Amino acid sequence: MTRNILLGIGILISIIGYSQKVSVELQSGRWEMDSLIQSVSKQVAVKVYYKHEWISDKNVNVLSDSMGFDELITLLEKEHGIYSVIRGNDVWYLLPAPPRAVQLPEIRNSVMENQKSTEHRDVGESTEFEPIKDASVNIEYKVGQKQYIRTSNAVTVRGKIIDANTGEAIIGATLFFPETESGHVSGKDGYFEFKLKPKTYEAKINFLGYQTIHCHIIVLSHGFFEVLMEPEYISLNSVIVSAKRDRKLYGMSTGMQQLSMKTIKEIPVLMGEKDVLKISQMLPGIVSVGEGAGGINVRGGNADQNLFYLGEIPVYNTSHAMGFFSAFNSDVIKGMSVYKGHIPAARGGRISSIFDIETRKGNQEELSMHGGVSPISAFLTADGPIKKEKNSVLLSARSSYSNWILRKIDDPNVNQSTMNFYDIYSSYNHTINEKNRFEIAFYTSYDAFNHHKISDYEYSNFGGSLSWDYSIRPNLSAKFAYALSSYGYEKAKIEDSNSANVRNYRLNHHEVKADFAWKKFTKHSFGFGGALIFYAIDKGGISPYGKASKIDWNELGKENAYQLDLYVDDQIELRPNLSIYGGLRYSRFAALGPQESIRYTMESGEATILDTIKFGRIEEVQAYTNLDIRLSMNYRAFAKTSIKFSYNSTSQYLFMLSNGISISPTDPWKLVDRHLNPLRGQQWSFGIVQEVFNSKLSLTLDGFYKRAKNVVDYRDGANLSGEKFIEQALAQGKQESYGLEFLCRKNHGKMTGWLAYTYSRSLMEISSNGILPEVNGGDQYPSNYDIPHSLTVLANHRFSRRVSLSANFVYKSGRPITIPTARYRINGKYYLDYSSRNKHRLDDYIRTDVSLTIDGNLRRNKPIHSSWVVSIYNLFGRKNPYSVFYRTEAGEIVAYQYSVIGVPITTVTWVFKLGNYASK
Amino acid sequence: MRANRLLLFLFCMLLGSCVDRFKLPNSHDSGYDLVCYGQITNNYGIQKIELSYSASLADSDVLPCTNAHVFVEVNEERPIEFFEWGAPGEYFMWLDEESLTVGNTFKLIIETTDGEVYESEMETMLPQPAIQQITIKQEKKKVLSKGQMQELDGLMFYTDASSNDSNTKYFRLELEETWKIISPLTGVLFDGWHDHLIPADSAYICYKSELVSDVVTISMEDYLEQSIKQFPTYFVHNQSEKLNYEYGLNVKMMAVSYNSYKFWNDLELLHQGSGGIFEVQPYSAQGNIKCISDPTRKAIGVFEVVSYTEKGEHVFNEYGFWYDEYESCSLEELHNGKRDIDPARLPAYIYYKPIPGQMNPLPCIVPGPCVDCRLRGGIPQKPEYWN
Repeated sequence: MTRNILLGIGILISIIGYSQKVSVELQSGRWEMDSLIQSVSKQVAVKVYYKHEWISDKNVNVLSDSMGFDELITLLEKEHGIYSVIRGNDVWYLLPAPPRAVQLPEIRNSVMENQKSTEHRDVGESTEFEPIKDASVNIEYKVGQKQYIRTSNAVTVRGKIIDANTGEAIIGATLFFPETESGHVSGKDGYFEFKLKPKTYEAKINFLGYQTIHCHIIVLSHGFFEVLMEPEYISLNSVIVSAKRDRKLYGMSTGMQQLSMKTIKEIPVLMGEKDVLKISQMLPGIVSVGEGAGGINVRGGNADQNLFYLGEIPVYNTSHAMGFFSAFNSDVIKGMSVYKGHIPAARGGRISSIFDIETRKGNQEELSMHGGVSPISAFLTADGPIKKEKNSVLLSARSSYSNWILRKIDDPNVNQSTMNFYDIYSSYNHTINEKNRFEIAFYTSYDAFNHHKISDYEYSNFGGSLSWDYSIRPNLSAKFAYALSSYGYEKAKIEDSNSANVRNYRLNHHEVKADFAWKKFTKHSFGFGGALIFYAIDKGGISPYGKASKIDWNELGKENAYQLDLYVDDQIELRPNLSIYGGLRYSRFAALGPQESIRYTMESGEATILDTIKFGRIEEVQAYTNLDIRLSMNYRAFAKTSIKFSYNSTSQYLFMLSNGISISPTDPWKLVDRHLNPLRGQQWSFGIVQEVFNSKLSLTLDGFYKRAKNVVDYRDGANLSGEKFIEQALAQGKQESYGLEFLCRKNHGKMTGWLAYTYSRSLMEISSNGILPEVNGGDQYPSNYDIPHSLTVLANHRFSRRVSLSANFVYKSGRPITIPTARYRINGKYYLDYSSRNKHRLDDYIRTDVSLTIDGNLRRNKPIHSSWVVSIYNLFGRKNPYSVFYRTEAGEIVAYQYSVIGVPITTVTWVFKLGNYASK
Repeated sequence: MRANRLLLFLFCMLLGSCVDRFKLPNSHDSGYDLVCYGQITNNYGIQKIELSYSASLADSDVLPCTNAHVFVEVNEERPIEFFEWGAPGEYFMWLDEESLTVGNTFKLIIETTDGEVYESEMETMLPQPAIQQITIKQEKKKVLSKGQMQELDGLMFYTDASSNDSNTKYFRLELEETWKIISPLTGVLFDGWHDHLIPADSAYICYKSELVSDVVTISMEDYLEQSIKQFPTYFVHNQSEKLNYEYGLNVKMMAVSYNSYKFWNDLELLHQGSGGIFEVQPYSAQGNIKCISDPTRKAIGVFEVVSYTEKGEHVFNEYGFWYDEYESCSLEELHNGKRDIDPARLPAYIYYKPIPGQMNPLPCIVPGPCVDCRLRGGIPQKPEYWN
């Protein structure tokens, strides 16, 4: 009887590792411990060893039907004095007294093996510096060298957290020191840095989807160490691990939202296209004007007030297929962070938000390959090292093949039309040494539409970046980068051969930047740096299309400008539970010649043209300088409660020309100039983060008030694409928005997901600028994306390792619309008159989606692992209204409501990867 | 922007997008602004200015603006007063050939009974354009008909025209369509005592004309050459009786000012939507008339000075189009003879239905439009351009 025999105490044992993350299903109630142990051992598939007399008289109260194995172990230990030890992954020892740890499992840390200044040791080795106390600690890191110990002074501890399998950096992982109740978050490229006095610290390192590391960090002197985290996909029954909650608690950012690729992959999506931007609209404070609309609106801001970075590359057009899908292939995305409240001083350029889309760096350990097929596109990603653990290459491509669907449609105009898009991303990462690392990345996206005999469209993004991470001194690191982004389009209108024309446009963005992080003092984290951006916009021209076209060539001119940004910031830990952040960002923007600009003179409030000024090459047309202030505070009132406050001022020097309800992929960008001033924004926000139920639930409440000036709106009926002097079609005014955002997120157990509710308003006010009349009579009016109530519920239930079901429910208030309020008769025909802009609303938007993911078998030896995803978008086929339009039919004016998607859309997607279930 | 919408249409077809009727809220909140439509044409003779007030959506109809003083100032010299006669709110005056010379300027001045004064911007008489030809092609086109987007067969009219002046760049087309209708049945009008013959030459074959509600504007502002060739002007589909026999389209091409063009172009944009993601924000089209006594008062409409030319083209049904709009010509058989007719229904249109094998036909009551095409809005005279 195995249960009656305790094998020798001196065997090699390991402290609980993987099993901490396993859940067990137990009927709540009172259990005899013996029965309970047997039940658990069957579920977890471990052999259990103990003496019957140790537990024969013990009963256990089980309070919930599902609990983590680690919770069970804690329960047994704390309430019944039964201690657990697990050997390997399948042997569980129960002991009547605390065990004495003798050996730890091997931890891979090849980088550290080569470093003299840093090493990790197994628990059990003696150290004269400080003895190990906690048997649950499974690894320790030694930082620095003994001979440099100066115990009185704090030293700089730098490190990097990386994926043990792929060598990719992990951004957003948290290090928590229970002793000081302080925490740190790994930043860009997985690096972190803090000041500590030399001694041994107990620490906990965790990140969503990875095994939590309990460790000791032995700080001897300045030094660097690397943490390898094991992914958690080998989990048994459930397991989503605690993750970003620590970041939520300790981070300075109010309103910051993060999405991991794991989350993105579980959410049902339209046509099987995993779309990071569409999914971001399920987070509080982020909306769009409607289904299929390109562009997103963050906390009541215009779609052009968001800046998207794919790695280091700024992307100006984020949509494929006219806005139905994002231009970012989800297979190269590792995660996404949205700064919509507090924006660090190192970031700027837009007044609403910054989207940091973090890309995968490529597997430094082995070759991996992924692919997938959806009804409209297919993708393939390959990555691997050229030299193991030294460098990696990643290449990913996605291409549509949707023309077959068009050809099935019985309409000659449609079945002779074509629609294509593709995007390619590749990167090369190279680690020169501990202090130097560089990355080259390349990105392009392309869309083409040809609507037979009516129009022809092409638009594309092209970008590249070269970045170099350099650790100058132990407490000073730098990152230098050059980024290029180019966005352009060409559109041909061919329906009427007389006016058939082609319009082209291109924007080029060149940016060099340097960011420094300096950890001179224990309580301070300094940052400083700057960027120089050169914008070159070729507004292109309108040229004839075809021999029959009567169109004359019309040159629309060029715009050039530079923008210099300098920033400095400091995060100060005033007390263990109180941190403050302050930053300044100075920017100087100068529009440069050659350029022609009209000079107006104001007479009794109305502008009339005086003359035209011509500016020569590189001559400064107009310059603007602004100083942005960034402040934030984080006060941890209790162990699981954090209160935050932040204030931002922001500047923006370019905007998009758009007079539709939604932005179009071919809306051009425009730089500010002599007549159009930079956009300026200010935001006050506060947030409370509370963790409940043993941190299984994270509750976040954020509030904000934001106002902006010089926000652009347009003259009624303006033709923005053909105006040479655009100030005659645009007006600038004020924007005000405010709201409350609530997020309840569950990351543990078989059932995971979130509930997000937002109440917010977004209001505009445009007065006359002399050149143009005011909009809406100068009165405040709701913006097109003023959506007061927004509720999203997302749930993912994992039935087994192979089967999971996801569902989401979306409710939004109907968006504002301008509807006619009167009618009139002219020449015997009736027409409609509109008064107040956006005074009415469409019906509410409600949508439910579901998706089922079925993974292939779990055999270890197989060449390809694949999975199927069946998703139904708009399950109940609700006709959510998008817009209302009017037509005169048989002399009567008829109003119609337009719904973009009025039926359920079912999609089957197949994805595969080389290797087995666990392969990366 | 329109091309954007068409592109989106492609995608939306795949996604099952749909269009449904939308009920506008009825309210009395708005309306009652002065609405003016004044048109001075190069065709000397009577010129007309229409004045009315806009109505809220809850009102049954618009109200005319009566008893106003309406003047047109020619070349900033002598104001010519227009007088209200005929229908309320319609003001007329005869303008001579000299006043209507190309290059003359015109300004409208209105003084309403409540003492408000409205003025238009100065408008200039432009040279008239020329229409070279109108061509017709059988085509299929996606149209919104009876609340549904559908692809229909029909005839597309194309126009070739040119401007006679390099400075005349804006045009508006006014389209009038005419189609031949033939009464499906022949009958008599029974007054209770006698049958009255309906004259076959006027009641059996008619020609019905209607102004097309589509607003069509043309801008040659960006054109190298001030002309259009094969300009897609109007599509008439086969889901009406219009193409059953003969059909004609008269194109009146007017040279207009930018102000007038902008106003009509706005109306075109606002009333010929097809929905879509990139639909423009609706707005109030206001034109070139302002209230100078109270600038906060809104005025809608346009005063336009146009010189026009017109040309029509008609076509026989050589394409096999057929649409039975009068399926409802149901016969109410009178088995006991005409005495069965309720006197309250008199006079009634009677069709004598032949009964095989019987001498006497069976009298039947039929709807009037089935035997008298004049009741369907037709007239016996063909348009001139059909000859």
